[in-house]
Amino acid sequence: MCKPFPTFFSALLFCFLFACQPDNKKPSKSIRIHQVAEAKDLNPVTCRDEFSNYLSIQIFQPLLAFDFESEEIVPVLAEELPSIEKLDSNRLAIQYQIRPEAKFASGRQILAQDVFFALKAHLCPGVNSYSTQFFRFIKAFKIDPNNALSFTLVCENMGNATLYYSGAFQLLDPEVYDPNHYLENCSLASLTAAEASADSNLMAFSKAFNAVKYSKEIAHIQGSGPYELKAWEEGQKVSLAKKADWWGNKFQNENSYFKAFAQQLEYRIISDENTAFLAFQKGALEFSAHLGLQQAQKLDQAAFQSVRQEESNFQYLGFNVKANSLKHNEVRRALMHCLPRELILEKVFHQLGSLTSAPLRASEYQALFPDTTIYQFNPKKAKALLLSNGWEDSNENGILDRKAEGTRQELSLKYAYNSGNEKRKAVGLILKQEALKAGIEIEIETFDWSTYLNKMRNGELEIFYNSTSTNLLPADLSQLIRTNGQNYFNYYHPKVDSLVQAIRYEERSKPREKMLLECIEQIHEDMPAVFLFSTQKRMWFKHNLDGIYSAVRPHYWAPAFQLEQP
Amino acid sequence: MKSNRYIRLGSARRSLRFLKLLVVVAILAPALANEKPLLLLEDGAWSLPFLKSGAAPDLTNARFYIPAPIPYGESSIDYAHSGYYSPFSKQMHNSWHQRHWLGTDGLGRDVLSQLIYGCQTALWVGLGAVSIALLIGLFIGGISAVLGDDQLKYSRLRIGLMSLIVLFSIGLLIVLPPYQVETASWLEVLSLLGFCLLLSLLLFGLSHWLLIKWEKKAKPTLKPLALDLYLNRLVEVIESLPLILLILALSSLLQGGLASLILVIGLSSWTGIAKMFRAEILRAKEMGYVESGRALGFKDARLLMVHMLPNALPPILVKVSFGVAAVILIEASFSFLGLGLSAEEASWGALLAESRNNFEAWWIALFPGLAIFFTLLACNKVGDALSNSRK
Amino acid sequence: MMAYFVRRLLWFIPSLVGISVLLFFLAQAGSSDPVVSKWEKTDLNPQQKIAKIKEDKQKLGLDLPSFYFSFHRQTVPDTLHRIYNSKLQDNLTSLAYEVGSWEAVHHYYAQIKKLHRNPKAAHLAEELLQLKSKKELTAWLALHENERSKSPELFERIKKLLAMEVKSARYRLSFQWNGTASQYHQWLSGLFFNQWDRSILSGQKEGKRLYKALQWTFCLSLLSMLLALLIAIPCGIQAALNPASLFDRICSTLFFGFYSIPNFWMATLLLILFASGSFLNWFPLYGVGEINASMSLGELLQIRLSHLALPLFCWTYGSLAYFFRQLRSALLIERQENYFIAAQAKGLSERMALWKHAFRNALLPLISIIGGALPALISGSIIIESIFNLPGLGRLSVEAFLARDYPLIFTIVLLGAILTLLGTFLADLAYHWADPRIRMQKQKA
Repeated sequence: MCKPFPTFFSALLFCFLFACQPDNKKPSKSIRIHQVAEAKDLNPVTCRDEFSNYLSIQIFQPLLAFDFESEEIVPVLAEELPSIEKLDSNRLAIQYQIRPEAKFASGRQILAQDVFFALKAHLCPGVNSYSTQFFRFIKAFKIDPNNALSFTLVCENMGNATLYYSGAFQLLDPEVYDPNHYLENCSLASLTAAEASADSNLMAFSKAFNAVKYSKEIAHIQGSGPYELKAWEEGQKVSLAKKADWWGNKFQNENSYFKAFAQQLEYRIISDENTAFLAFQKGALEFSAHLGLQQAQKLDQAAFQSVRQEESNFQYLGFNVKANSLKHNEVRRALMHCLPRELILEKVFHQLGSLTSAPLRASEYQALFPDTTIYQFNPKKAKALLLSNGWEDSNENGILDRKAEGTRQELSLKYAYNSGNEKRKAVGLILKQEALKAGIEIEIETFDWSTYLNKMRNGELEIFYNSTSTNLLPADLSQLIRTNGQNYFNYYHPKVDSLVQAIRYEERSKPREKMLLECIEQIHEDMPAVFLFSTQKRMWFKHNLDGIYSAVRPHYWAPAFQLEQP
Repeated sequence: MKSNRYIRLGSARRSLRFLKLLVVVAILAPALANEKPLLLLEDGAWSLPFLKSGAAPDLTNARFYIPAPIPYGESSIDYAHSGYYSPFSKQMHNSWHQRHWLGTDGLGRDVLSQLIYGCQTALWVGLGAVSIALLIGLFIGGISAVLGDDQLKYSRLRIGLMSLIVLFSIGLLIVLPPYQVETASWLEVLSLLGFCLLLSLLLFGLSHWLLIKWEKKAKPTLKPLALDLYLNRLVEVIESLPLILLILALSSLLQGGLASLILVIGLSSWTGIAKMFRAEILRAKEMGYVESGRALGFKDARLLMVHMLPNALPPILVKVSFGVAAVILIEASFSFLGLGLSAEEASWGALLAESRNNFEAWWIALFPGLAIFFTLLACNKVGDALSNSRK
Repeated sequence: MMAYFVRRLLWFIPSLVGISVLLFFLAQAGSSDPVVSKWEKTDLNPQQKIAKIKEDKQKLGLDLPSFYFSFHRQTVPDTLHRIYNSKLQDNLTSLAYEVGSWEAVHHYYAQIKKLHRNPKAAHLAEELLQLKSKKELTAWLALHENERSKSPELFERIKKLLAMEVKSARYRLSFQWNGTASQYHQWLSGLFFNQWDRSILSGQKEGKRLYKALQWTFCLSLLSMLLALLIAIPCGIQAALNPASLFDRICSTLFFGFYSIPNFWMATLLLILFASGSFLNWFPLYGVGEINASMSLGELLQIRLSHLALPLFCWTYGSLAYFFRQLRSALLIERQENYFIAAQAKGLSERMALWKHAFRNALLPLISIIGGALPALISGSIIIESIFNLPGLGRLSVEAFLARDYPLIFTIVLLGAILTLLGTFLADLAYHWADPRIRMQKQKA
């Protein structure tokens, strides 16, 4: 008669011991970089998430891009910055020259024709990308008959951004991405014509181009960039390997896009913040830009270093100026007085950010407007402001109210944030606590991200926290304050509208700054939003990792990473 | 065996006392932990500021006031103590009264105050969701057991007519209520809905009466309605949907908050109770006492309510006590996913989830963890005692 | 006998249809629109966004009405689903309700769109789109009387609208048959025609990914179930042999303590204790490990097991208490039955009598629990997979949910539902095998 217990449990214990095995300690050549979200799509035209975009600029290359070092526009596949000629008030001709050395992965030289193909692929209707609408500002493409490397783009004038966007698309090898030559003979105009979506040739192309193989399969993801995709385990890691004999090696000194020192890059996808922190602490990662702050402060300073970079964004609290009590200017102004921005920056963002009081990056704002007294935190002043504008606490419940259209209306507002965003939640709690002192009741609502976005777009939120990313181009308010009231605030002012447009097209910096100042003054007057700060990104890395860190998103250029041997 | 049972009963009594304490704390929460004083004498007038929704009054000119035992509200932030102050650390207060006895969290909220308000949440979620589940479960399980597959007999005409009337009532519900509910007065809405209901009931009754007359006369073939079968399938359908996925699906519809959480958990977790109640009644049907009751000529309804229900109830209560415990845990995991409650509602689960951000802050993990453990333990002990008392 | 099981299998069909309809309407009721949020955060201007949304919706069939048929008031236009902004839908519907004729509102809307194309007056159009009642419209008209010249037709339309009020139209119901040109039908037929895994967001087929994720989750669920039974059954029996013994108490308290710890917290604690290296460095932190073809079976097993040991434990520990309690109390009841005493009288030891006779009976309640436990395991997988970074179904489904990628969500939930239905079915079969009484009853019936 055997005793089942001891035997059984010792078997279990054995299994457990058998399972005990830490990560294998093989020294690896590759540099492991932490990412929080999965890359979804490595087709450079259809990808939308930030990580996929970042991978695609390492595998593919555009004509122009923002340099990670100088933070200015530099030529990548273009030989030099293109020359611009003004055709008429509304059109520009931009002439490009391609680097003669540039080659696709197959070793074939890149010609103007290939640029044309890439542009057509971006524009082809049915392709699952916003580019089919966006790149419509490029109206014509002319290849120089004498020089297969030179071409001219005729573009609609989009203001100061035209140059950058005219060269911002990634180049694709037509041999790989269009083996059936669907796009070979079509013109640019035929792609944007109304009947284009009925063209069987174009439809066949877009169907083939949207296919999984171009976004996920290693053999079909090839470009002219320094890296090729080596392995991709979904939800786990993406590995890139440096091409054996890359054509760009000799341009190392030109700009950061040619600085590809890392032989292998391994992007590890770890979505849980805590797990990622433990992995980093243990040394299983070389670099992370996504560590939770509370924990990272405890990292051993001898083994790890960190660097801060201002992110090109600005955070703001938006008001729906059509929503019930918020349509009164004094209420918006009072809310502004209830927002302790310094305190929020300190307690919630742990000083990772710098204040801005306008829809501009903090560094840009501080350079233009040294005046920082526009927003004052003072709940008492807020209450006084409200009381002098007809609000009163008639039922003595601590919340102000006033008579409107025959009924008594309590000053009660809703603050919305997207669920899971703890920082926005904390801002809501602070606002609630301070606004209560001014007699304003704030109710905090939470929606999941896509609902939040939809509601913000439809103007169904009252107070909302949002962040707008900018790029390093000259200030352009049109992304935030879409004219005609088509913005999240439902805000419309004819003067602001015309100024926003004018700023976009003004090339000289002095007059632009003057208009900017005027425009922002009006915005401060009407207060459709309280601007808070630009956040900073804190990146952590092992002490022997050398790299390039920059204001250009995502703030580090991974190919330039090098591990110094101790 | 016997002594063991008494030990269990003793611990069950203690558990019950613990649960009662929780209820008391939950009810008194606004008075226990509040930044506003309980009683205030200012300008010769007495007031109860903790019942008001406004900001905390300025106490410098107050002649006399009684503060709450813990001077921090559910979501009040003590800026000076943000960033995880431990219970034993040096805190910068003027008086002992203001001390954070169980420390603070990252933002500077008092952990003790959150624990106290967490009681409210736990009880609301536990009792609310379980009572919804209980109502639905008992109803569905009861119907399905009592009417079975062959008790409800219908002629074809009746089924046709009744479904027409149901369709008609749905149509009425679509058409009648005013579109802009916010502009219409409540009276209007209610009277219209009442009218809807009355009309449908009237139609229902009338057709029922007519049908009975007709059935008596024409003697149509009556077919049994396999109600039990259909309801069992319904239970199967609900059970096969993973709860978290259901909540995710509903999250955009319900817009977060305690009430919707309760509703969703309640609406999706009644199946266990329904199944058990059905089984218990079916078992009771086989028992001698029901047959003898039948022989005595008691009506079915009386048999069900007076004889079967009390017998079927204890196992259901066991299930309920476990259900309360399970629901508290479910709330905790929703907090982890960021789906649970709105920002202002404190909960033990949310505290635990926050503790993951900073494991050195043991006080954020330990105290809510203990609260969950003891509440669950108490629920289970009470459940145990109930199930033992049956034997 | 066979007939009974065949009938049960056939009942799956209506159940699945029920689940699919339920899910579909839950999704429809939500206020967010995946296609809209897909293009919202891009550099496009509003007109380009709308063009893109239109194109996408047409391609995916999302501009169709939702079900085979629909009922609505006569004042609700039957082409409402073509307006992509839910707030605008609301506004126009409520105007039409007040006016009593959606044709009039339709003309009014067409005029607004025309006005919108005029850059000088577009802000007026934007303002009008925010209005939803005659009262607001009157106020607007009074305010903007001086801008009549910008669109006299529109002002005429508004005047006409304000004059109209056909109350009876509100109470008339219109029934609309959409037939196969409905979203539900498209989705359902897609399920059968190899479109079941098409994602709205990428527009691509995600079958491979789904299949892999399902493999992991299913595998881990089964393993954790097995592990739970392997631990709970012997403990349960031992505890039932000597109730109230030290072993019984230790097991009860330990398992119960486990039960009351939320799994996300336990997972983090285990990671810190056993994998972080700051205390012990026994296990790897995350992932499922890398294997290659050249590895031997032993190595392969070791890599997989070392990665999965902690997640498996977290997956399992919560259910231990439940299984243990069930088995223990069932065995305690069986112990008092006559047959058990008879078996002992026959000369069997208590332990043998428990194993040979009581165990089989006590297993019955466990079988039905196991059959229905799959949804809970999938729910649990969401948290554990995200902490341990496993490429399973839970993470995939959360991702799909957050992006509102409905086709993918439906497929995942439907898969879960099918597996659960199968699970209960198998439990039923097992019940039959284990309990002759049921077999007899069914045969009689």
